Amino acid sequence: MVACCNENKQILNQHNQNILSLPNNWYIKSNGPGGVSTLSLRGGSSSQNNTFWNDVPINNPMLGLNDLTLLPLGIIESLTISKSGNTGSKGQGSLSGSVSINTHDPDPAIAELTLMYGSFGHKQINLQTDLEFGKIKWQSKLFILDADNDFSYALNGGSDQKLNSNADFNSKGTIQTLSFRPNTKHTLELNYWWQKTDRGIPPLSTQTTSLARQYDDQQRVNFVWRYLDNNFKLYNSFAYIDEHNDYADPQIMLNANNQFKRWYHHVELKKNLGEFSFALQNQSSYAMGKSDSYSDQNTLKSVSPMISIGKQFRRTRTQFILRKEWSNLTDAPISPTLIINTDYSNGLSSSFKLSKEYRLPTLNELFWRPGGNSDIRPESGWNQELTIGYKPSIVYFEIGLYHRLINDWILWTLNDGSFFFAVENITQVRSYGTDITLKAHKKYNTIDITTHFNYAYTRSFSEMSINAPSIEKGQQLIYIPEHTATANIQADFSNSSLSFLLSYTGAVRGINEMVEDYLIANIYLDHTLNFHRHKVKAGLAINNLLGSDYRIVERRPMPGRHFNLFIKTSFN
Amino acid sequence: MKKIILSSILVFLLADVNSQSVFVDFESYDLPEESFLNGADNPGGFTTNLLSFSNVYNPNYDFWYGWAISNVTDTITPGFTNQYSSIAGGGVDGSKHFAVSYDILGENIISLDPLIQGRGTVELYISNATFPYLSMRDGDGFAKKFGGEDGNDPDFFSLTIRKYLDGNISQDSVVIYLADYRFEDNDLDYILDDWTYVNLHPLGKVDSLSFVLNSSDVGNYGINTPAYFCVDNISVNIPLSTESEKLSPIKVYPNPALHTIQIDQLPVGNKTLTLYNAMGQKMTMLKTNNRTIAINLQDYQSGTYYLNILSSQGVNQFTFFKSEHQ
Repeated sequence: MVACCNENKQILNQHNQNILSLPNNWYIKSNGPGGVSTLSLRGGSSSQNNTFWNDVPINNPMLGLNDLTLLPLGIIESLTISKSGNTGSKGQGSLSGSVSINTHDPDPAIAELTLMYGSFGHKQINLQTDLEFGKIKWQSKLFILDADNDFSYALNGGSDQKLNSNADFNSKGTIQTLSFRPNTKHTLELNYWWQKTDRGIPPLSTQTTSLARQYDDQQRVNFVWRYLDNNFKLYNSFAYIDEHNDYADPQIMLNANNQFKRWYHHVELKKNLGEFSFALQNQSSYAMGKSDSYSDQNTLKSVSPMISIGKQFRRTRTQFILRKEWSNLTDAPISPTLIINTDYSNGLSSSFKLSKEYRLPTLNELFWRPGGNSDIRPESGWNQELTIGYKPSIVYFEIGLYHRLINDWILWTLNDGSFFFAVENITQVRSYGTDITLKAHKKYNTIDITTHFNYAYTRSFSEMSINAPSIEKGQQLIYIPEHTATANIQADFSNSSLSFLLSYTGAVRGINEMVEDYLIANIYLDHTLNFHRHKVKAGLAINNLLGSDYRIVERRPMPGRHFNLFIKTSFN
Repeated sequence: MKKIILSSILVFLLADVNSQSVFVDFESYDLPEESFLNGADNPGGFTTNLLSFSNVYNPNYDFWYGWAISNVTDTITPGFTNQYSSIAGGGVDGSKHFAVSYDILGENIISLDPLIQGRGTVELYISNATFPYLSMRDGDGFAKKFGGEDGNDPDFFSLTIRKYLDGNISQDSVVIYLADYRFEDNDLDYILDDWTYVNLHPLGKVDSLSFVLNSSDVGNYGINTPAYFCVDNISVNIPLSTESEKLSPIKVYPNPALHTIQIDQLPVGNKTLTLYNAMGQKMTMLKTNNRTIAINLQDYQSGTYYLNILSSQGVNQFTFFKSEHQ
């Protein structure tokens, strides 16, 4: 595949255990520590981007989104965020972008133990072991996380304080990877991810108490067969996902039990012939949801073949992708993608993408009673992107421009005379904006200085007015900030690292009220001691250094200044 | 099927004998303890003889809106699982039954029977339902605690009552604040926690009454405050035309009746006689200019019957029992 614009790989370390502390201008709608966090890319909704683990989409097919809070960052190696329409290469649901999770440590120690302690009762243990038996490798990762999240926050910006109660977050899990490489061409890999999370749902700032809890039980199994022979690659992946998502609120005597199972197969063949590259791919998915609110019909089956042809012309590389998906309920449109990447002289590069993007309805949108609509059409529309990169020396500058017009936007709406909200293809949503990135790296004697600046301007609005929910034509959609920016400077010296991050998010419209803009500062410091085959790394992170009183979601307070300490011991 | 015995309408002469009153207190609904009627057993609503309370029930989703009759007393449990109780723990003055309104279309209506439309003025009692009361007091996952984070938000939850007459809705209205946090002094903020008398006589004579809820807690999806309230002890006061007609001379006999019921000394002029059974079902309706008339009861089952007589004097109601044997 031709790499495209606006991809940002975030190498995770023990500093950034908080998904909000990553230096990237993605917008994460966080309901607070331990609360549900969802991602919005380039003005898209949280169900218009996909999260992949080993190329397996792990978004909840009932809701269409992925709760980033449940990602165990302590045992994840990296996240690659692509702010680009990726339906052609990634499949449905990657309309506004995608996140790829890498959980496999490519350069492991024999054993690693990490202990973390932080504010609000945050305690975490991560353990990783790596064993090798000839051609077999076994990487085992375990984690236990426990936090009270009982911070105090100011009410209405005044001096009165309130304690964030019933916000405890308890999660434990494991990721196991067993790989077998019989020869240089074949690799077989078995991945297993189990995780169980129990968390309280704290009261809103306008709510006296809450006893609500949410339980997530996730099992993911993935078997991969890779074949690599000179110019030919085969990637064959089977996955099974079984997740329970239960919500209980004894105060209002509510018990909502939800479960989905998903069988997924991804096969891809790649062949290079001189200046040409060819790829064939097929994704097959069988998703079945269970809920008290579902009818008997609860499955969405789909096959999604794709063909890709690429050609290299001197400095320009082009790729044309064609995808067509069929499902048992609703057929997606043919989705072509054209990518043209050019490297000019003097460090200048450009990337142009023209693509038809789409998203199939979620199981809730199809089957929820009342209001689900099995006749709903996929959201779909054209996407245009242009990215210009310039790297004259130690500086890299990139500006991305995009425009997307999505038809048949799926919305829960109240029709005239109806007594419940129902799913409709109700409007057309236009999104456009720009992403600007500036990176620089310079070495002063023994000190490596890296700076990273991001700014995003995002407009996303409906092309028509709607009564319920109340949306005016041209009005920015809720929880889409027009302006976001981050600035990060990091210094690495003598086995030590110091990093400072400033993050600005502009005001957004909430469901009930405006959420004010905010500026957050985080600082990280770590130091590594080497003892022969034994390495010890210790660090400190101070988040919200400025003690900003802020909300990301209305009525959901965020913590003030708080810290995390960690110590990581590695044995080789 | 639950056994339903509809409320009787008490028609009586008031002490000052200037008017007659149709009084509905829902007490004749013989509901089991802690239960309600939301349209599941009685689709379309309820008619307590001369007052109609419509509702819609969807059996697929066990979902309803409009009016329900209830004797649920739970004033503790928050949330939508407790949507049929009044915060007073019952009806007015400790009575058991009352009506609950759940409004999702922006307006709920109490309709008067054509027999008394445009003839009387109304008074009634209003109470908060437990669901919105606790939501306003404590907040919930959707609606805010009134006063907001620091107690200073000028929140309100109001009920606006207007009348329909001859197909037109009145500009005049009576507004009841079910909760009012708009006072400078927060100590004056309140949420109604008992029945409150509401005088609708200033609206004048009505065909029907319109009830509309408003709240300061409004989001993109409309009012967040649960759109419920309770009603009880509804009186429709129908003035008599002249002093000489204050006392009804009408005689209805025999009681119990066997094959016929005889009505004598009817007022002069056009009269409409309507017979209802104990379920509130209309059995027959007669129009006459005569001063005397007999109604044949042979095809009717034994039981309690209500006879409404509409004349230039207003409405008179008589209750009698139809017997199988002499």
